[in-house]
Amino acid sequence: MALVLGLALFATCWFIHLIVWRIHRPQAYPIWLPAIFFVLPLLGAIVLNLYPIPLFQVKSLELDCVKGVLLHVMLSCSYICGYAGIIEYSPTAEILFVVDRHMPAGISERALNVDSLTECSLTGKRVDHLVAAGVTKLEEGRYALTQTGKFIACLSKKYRTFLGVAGIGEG
Amino acid sequence: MILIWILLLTPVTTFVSTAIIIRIQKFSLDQVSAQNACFLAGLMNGSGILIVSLCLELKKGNHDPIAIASLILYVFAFMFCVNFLNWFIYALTETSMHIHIVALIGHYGSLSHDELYSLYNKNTIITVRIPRLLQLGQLKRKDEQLVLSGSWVLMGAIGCRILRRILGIPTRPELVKRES
Repeated sequence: MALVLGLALFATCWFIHLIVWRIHRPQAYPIWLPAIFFVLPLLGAIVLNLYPIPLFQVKSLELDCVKGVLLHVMLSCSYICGYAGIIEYSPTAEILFVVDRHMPAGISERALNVDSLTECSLTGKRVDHLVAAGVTKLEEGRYALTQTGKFIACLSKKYRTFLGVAGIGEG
Repeated sequence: MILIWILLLTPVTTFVSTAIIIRIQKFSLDQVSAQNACFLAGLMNGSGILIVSLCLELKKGNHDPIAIASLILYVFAFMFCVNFLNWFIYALTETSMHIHIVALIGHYGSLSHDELYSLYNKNTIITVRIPRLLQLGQLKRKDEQLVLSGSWVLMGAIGCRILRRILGIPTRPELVKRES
């Protein structure tokens, strides 16, 4: 029951997400995705609570409902985090696609040129995102961190220190 | 109820296990990359949770094969998500271009446009990923040529392309320019 409920809840939310995206893909997906995957089911639960349905009155199913909701939350968190990999074009993936096109002979590292990605679509695009999100700011021709950016940098460093790896990743 | 509490704790135990594995492997001859440490921690925690949940279910006297199979699938799905999120948070700090730019600017205090691009550009972004793919077993060197050796990262990338097509997002970066 928990497995079916969790998967059904996630699948329903994902179908609503597909319909919304097909009508008009929103730019503010960090707001839309949590709204679809978390707020909508919560509203649904509130509405269902107002109209008692015999199935949900069965005490023995309460734990299954909790486990089902837990699975839905984990699946939704994974999907929302993984969505960045869908909306952004991973350089790692583009490298593999280029190597795949040259199989079985392969390609030398020197000849590896990922034409699908440009400076503008890599560093440039990310810098624009960070400025638009208020994480970095441009002052007198130099990029600096805002308070939000400093918090993110500090959090990342502390996380990596706890994990036992170098303070800054390789990027 | 005990299972729910155990499941709620697994993200923490998986994260702590990852940190322990990374620290222990520094003393061993066989170096495990941090990414592989994430997967190893997930596998260990997942196996442990599966055994505990099966024991709890059998202790309740439930021997129904469908219920047992359903429980196994549930734990697998749950731990897959925990493992993915554990790896994702690490990958965010290690490979995310956004976070790397933030970390660079934070490290240097401030950077001009040219300074930032000299530190982090298309060449550095691609160059740093090749050893990572070699370490993950996705690429290997064969007579000075890079060839595919593993497939799961490529399969993930193809999965993303399929999802883009379903969601109506341009499937390749060069198509984004055409769309705009």
